[in-house]
Amino acid sequence: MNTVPMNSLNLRLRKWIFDTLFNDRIKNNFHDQFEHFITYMIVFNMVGLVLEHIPIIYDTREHLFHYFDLFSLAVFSIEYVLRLYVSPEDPAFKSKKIPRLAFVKSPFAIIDLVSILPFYLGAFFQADLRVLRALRLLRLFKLFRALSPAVKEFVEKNKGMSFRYKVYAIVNETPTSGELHHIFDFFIVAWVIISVSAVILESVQSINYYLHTEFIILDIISVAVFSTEYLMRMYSCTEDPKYQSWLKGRLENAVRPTSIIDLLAILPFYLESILHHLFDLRFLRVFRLMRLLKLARYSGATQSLFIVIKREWPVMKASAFIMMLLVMLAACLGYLFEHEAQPDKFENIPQSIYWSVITLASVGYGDISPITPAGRAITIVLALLGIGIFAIPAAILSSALSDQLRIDRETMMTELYTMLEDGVISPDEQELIEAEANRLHLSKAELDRLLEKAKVEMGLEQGAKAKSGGAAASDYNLEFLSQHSDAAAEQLKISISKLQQIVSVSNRDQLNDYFNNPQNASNLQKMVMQLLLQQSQRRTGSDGQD
Amino acid sequence: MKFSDYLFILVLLANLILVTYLGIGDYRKGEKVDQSLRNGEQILSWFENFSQKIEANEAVTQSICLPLAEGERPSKGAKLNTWHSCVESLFNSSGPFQDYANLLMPQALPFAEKCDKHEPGSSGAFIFEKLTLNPAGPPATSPMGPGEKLIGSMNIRLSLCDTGYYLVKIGEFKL
Repeated sequence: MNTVPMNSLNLRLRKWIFDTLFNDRIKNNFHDQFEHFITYMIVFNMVGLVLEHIPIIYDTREHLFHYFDLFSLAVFSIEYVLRLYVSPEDPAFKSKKIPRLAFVKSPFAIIDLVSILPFYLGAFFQADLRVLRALRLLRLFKLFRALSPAVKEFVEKNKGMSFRYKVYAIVNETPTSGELHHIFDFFIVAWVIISVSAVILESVQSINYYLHTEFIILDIISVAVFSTEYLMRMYSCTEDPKYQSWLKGRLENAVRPTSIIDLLAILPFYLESILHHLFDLRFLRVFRLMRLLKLARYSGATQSLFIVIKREWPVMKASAFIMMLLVMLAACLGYLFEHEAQPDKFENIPQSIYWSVITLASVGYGDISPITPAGRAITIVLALLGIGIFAIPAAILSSALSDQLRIDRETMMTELYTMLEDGVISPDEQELIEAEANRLHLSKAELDRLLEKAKVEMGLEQGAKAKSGGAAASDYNLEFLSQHSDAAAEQLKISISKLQQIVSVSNRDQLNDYFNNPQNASNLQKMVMQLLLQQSQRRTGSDGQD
Repeated sequence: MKFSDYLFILVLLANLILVTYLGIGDYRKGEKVDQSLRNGEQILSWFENFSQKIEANEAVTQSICLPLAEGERPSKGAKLNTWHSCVESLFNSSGPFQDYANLLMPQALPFAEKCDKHEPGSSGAFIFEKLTLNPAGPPATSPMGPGEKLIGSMNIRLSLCDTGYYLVKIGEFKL
């Protein structure tokens, strides 16, 4: 008797699990988070596998590695079981005769199984632990689950495109780039973080002492990754209309700040390896930290800052000139008044320049300070002027940045208007809006507010058009309002206000007579009219009492 | 695919081969530095053992490294052991560190006075420095010159001069 409800519960549970964790067509479920979690687990497993080969790390923490391994095994096992359970809901296997069997036979399921099965078999049979450990490398193949659809999508979108364009689409955001470009970006960002962390940790002697060779390996892999990226960017840049010429275009692209940063990230390795016999190139090692600047390409804030600096350059130049004048003047006066009293500190004008900059910038190290009355008087003036003078560029930059943000938001609003012209925001448009909002660091609430504003204004605009364009335009307005309930509500509010205004300026008795005649108005119209008249009378009464 | 596409793939592969080739060179040097550090740890433990034997008044094989006891005055005409003779005896063919060579510069000595980029032979060499304790801050270091007399309770720091002529500290011992 309980079979039917149980079966129904089972079906509902299966569908709920599939929709919550595995259905990529539903927008606000946990599919992305789940996929990210599994990807991070795979990456951490690989990191763990590498760290296990470093005795100084592994020997004292063997139990932690063991617990992590058990946890990973549990996660991957649960993932496999869940995928198997919900496979009848999966469109890829739904149409098959036995969906679960079809799932088990699929390549990804085989990879998933192979990455966990040896450990269960190891519990029953005698197996070499080293072999079991090596088999964990198979978990790396699980990453193909994320990579494979992206590659498929990329191939499809770029069918018929040249090889160079495909390279361009991988390294740059284009309409045909798809998810593969995002994976490529993520990969580069991850390597930037890894390599910069390695450079920083390398400078800690107690760490470098034990992980010296590991840091060398990391640096080699980083250079291989970044040099390949650099070559891909240089080769494919001619696809950009700005750099079309095969030589001139590439040279122009090579002198762009981002390209120079890319080059500086790899150049120290080549120079140090090839020219170390001829020159002392140890200083170049520090340039490996320039890799951090590669992240600037992925940050909208940095781009905004560059735009602002470029825009405000003439003002900044003027401000820098005034600052330089003041520094020089102060340094000369400081030297004049203090040199005789403190020849060791105000030894020459360059040393006085150091003092005047430290004083003007309100840093005040105190290693050089005036002792003569005239010197101290100048310092007072300098300190007071410094606050204002050094604040000018900061104020210019901050106001220009907020201006830029306003301009960016206005541009976004214009884009929103354009997207709303057809009355609908398609999924692609929604994605674009979200990406732009992300770039402008807008919160979800702010984005919703902007969208609402745009919708209402669009509704009003179309309402105005309808007024001037007659009945046809009015129909279009209704079509728009039928799809946007919020805008419809706003429109209704405006219409009611207008009705109230009309009633308040009209003769009430005449209106009453007109609407009381059944030939002039319907019942509903009469009722609405009476309601408006009552409202108007009440308002007039309360105004009279006031 | 066009000819330029093939050329690009070729350049890409050539670059990867070059990075691998240079990387293998760097890795091998790194391994040598690692091996030298392990050797340095052995030297350190030998000296610690040596000091313990001196303190316990036990017989030592390398009498040439025996320091003058703290507070003791050298007898007239007696020659004090010098650092140069001690370290040479340790690394010569009959010394305990006879197998330890300069792995980065095989033709140079396994030990040097200081890590100096103008002396290529110092790369990969063990550097012994005398530590002078400073109550107000970190101890001051000075090179152990060839004529340095061995006096009891000397604090010595052992480091390795690495590929970039930077000192990599291995440890400290008391002679």
